Amino acid sequence: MGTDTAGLFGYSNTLSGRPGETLSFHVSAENVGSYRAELVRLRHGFTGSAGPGFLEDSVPSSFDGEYAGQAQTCQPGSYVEVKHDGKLADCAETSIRAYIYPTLPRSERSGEFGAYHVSQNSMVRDSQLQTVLSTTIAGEIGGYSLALDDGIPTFSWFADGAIRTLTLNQHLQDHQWYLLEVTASAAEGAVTLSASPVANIMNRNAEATAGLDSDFARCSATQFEPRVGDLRIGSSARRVGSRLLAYETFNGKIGGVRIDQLGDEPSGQRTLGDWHFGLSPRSDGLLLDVVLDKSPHAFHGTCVNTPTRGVTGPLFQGFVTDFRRVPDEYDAIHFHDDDITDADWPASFSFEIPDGLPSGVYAAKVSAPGAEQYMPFFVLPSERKNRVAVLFSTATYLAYSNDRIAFEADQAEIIVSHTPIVDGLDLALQDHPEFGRSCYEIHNDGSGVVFGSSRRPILTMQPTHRAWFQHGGAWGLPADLCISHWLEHESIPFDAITDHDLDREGHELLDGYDVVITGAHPEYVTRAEIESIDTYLSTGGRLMYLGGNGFFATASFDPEQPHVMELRRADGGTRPHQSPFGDARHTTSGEQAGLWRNKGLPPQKLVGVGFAAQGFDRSTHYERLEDSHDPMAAFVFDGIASDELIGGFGIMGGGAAGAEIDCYDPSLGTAPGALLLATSGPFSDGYLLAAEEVYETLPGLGGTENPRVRADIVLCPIEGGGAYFSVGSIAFSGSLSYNAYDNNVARMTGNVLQRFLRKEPIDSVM
Amino acid sequence: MVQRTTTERVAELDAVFDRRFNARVRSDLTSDVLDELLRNPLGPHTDTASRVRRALGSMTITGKQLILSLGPDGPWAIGVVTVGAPGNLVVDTDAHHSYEDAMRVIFANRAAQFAGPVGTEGTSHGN
Ligand SMILES: [Fe+2]
Repeated sequence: MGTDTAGLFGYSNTLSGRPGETLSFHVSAENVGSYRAELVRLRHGFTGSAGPGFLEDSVPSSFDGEYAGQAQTCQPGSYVEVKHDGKLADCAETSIRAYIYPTLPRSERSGEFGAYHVSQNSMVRDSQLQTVLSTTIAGEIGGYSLALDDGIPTFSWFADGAIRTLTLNQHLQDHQWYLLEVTASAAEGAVTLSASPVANIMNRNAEATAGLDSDFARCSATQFEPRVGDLRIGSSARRVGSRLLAYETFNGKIGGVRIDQLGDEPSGQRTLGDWHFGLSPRSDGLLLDVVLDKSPHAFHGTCVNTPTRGVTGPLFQGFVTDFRRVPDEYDAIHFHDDDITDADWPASFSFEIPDGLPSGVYAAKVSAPGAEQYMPFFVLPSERKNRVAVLFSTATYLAYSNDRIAFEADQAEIIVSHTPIVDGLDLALQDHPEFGRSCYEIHNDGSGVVFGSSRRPILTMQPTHRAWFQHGGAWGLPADLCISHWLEHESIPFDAITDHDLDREGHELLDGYDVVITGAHPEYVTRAEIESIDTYLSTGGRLMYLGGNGFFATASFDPEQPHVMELRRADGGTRPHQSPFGDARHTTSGEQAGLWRNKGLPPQKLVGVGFAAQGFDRSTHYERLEDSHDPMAAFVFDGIASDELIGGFGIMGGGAAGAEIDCYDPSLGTAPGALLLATSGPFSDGYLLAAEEVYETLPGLGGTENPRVRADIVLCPIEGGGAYFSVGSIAFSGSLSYNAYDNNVARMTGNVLQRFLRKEPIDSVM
Repeated sequence: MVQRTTTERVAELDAVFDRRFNARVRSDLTSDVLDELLRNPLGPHTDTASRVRRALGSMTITGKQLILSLGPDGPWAIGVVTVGAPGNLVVDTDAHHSYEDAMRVIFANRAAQFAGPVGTEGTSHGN
């Protein structure tokens, strides 16, 4: 938080709703006494004069008004919260066992550095303690805590109002399993602590060469002051107002946690808690936020801030990688001190979407002198009114949300072939590390970020935000607003729907729409979304895919907390980082992570084109190909000369073909009947062939040498009256508004939309 | 003998690489190449200029320059990534009319750093 800078930050509980549903908005006001809240309709985002500029309409609403500002704390750090009946309050006669696999035991990052080589952490850690389990609250007396202190196991408890600690001698190695054991006994008058290395396939070093030793310590102790409160695994607690926030969170995996009551006789041990992180209470075996306690007490826990489950545990054998089939091998959770999937701020105001509010893109806007924030959301139609739906790419928004790469990675400049161009929102994001990271980044411990969430301020989803990687930088929501404003300009009313809605409701959400238009970058989709679009197309639906890198990789939404999106990374293809062996299955869906093309569903099979290359120096035009003169495609080029280059202009890189681009490829499933209408102009070597196309690295992967580095436009009629039109480029959306919408990109796109709105099959030439 | 760490050994390898890499870049970084980059910062560039541009851009992020957009159509300022500064960026007071102008200034700075005073090794590209 800036010391005296005014700031307003907020989020909504959900990204979309229908009339009759209620959204809540959660605002933190920094150095702002009071702020104004109003409903706005978002019409266009990109602020530059190359387009229509920022356009919003104020809409009277029930929450209009002035609100008292209050600062809220957003505290990252994931953990398991265990409520109990008091039995875990003290450790006077107990033994504690936990397996741990520290990934950042000391301050030096030793994990992977990600695709862009992160060499600096813009989040500063303020403690060298990392908690394995604890019943303590910072600054309060009572309870006990097992932790690493600068990488050395330590156990602490309270006696006579003072903290006492027992600490081992050796630093633990990172990426190595250990068994930690504690016994505490007032009767014996002693505490013991030990750490023993555990053999496991996922240890970084071979056992014989790692130089590992066991470690043991003992001290006398007769008093253990209890604290009646929750047990936390992976974190301790600090009190802020009425909330108990994460504190001194663990980085790494914890598993096999068990707490026993010491008995008088050897057989007299009574289990107080025996948590199994690989077990699911659900019939589908998914690992969501509930953690099961196998002990008779059933002190089940709840995950907070979505630590990563479905990760390999101390018993992992390396043969089976589905957590549902070998739960005992998946008794582990990976915690991160920078996990944040719910800021958990109190609601500042709420909004019941009134009947009659047209479907579209809206935001709750809060503003005060020197500060403003938009909390965007999508209003779905109550009953279907419009013939056109726009599918807004909320999964991709969440994947990119709060991208900090330009400030942390050496190779940020290399991937975009120019010095990153950041904006004021990026600086505010740097001042707020607590708002978390994007799924393109690595955590403080070097492991990849695999969850995105909308329940935290997302500064990259502000309608005016510009992405650092493309000069012009309309990306995500701002790029999709280029498409929706084009529809407004064409006087075509549309309904707004999102990835979240399509995943939840399936193809019935699309039924009855004459045309569905995608956003500029529908990169991450769920299986249900692909199947829904496939069904829609095969039953007469018409799709305009006006983007690039679409339908590319697997996303899942948590079925119980859909504001949480999961996006793990496979060990092949274009990927900003990759999940460790065994950790690549989504716990919220059971899906294997990775590219749909590697799971039998290449984008070409759905929409005719699929990811080919990316680059961020200059975009280019398209040139027409032979199929563009086929009578069936005549409508597309109505008013466009046969030798006219299309789209040599635009907000994003100066052309309609660029950024992330897709190509026609029959070998990946482009339909035989798909017409290949146009292909892109030349790209520089800053555009490089996508990694999934590279089986062995051969020289010549750049745009000047590699024939696959291109964006193609295809049109495909489908039996039953359906059709798709795909442009295979993210930059396309940024060309629509050029010259006040009087240009051949807008013309071509309008031709297609008008024809798609007419019922006659596309393959009947008219 | 003092026990060396893996970090030290990796750093030694990086230094060997940097020595070779920097020698190549300094020989490629002619005034013609710099002129080409300054003329047209976003390219397309010749192979040699592209190689130099990548070298000039691959420095470690700490202390590296970014371009900050100050308004809807500019101007643009240059900032230095500095953890702990407001926005983790120390922003230069000079405003540039275009982002390409800002890129020109950055190219010129980095080229001077890379070349170093005559007769010295110049600045490592880091890793
Ligand atoms: Fe993408």
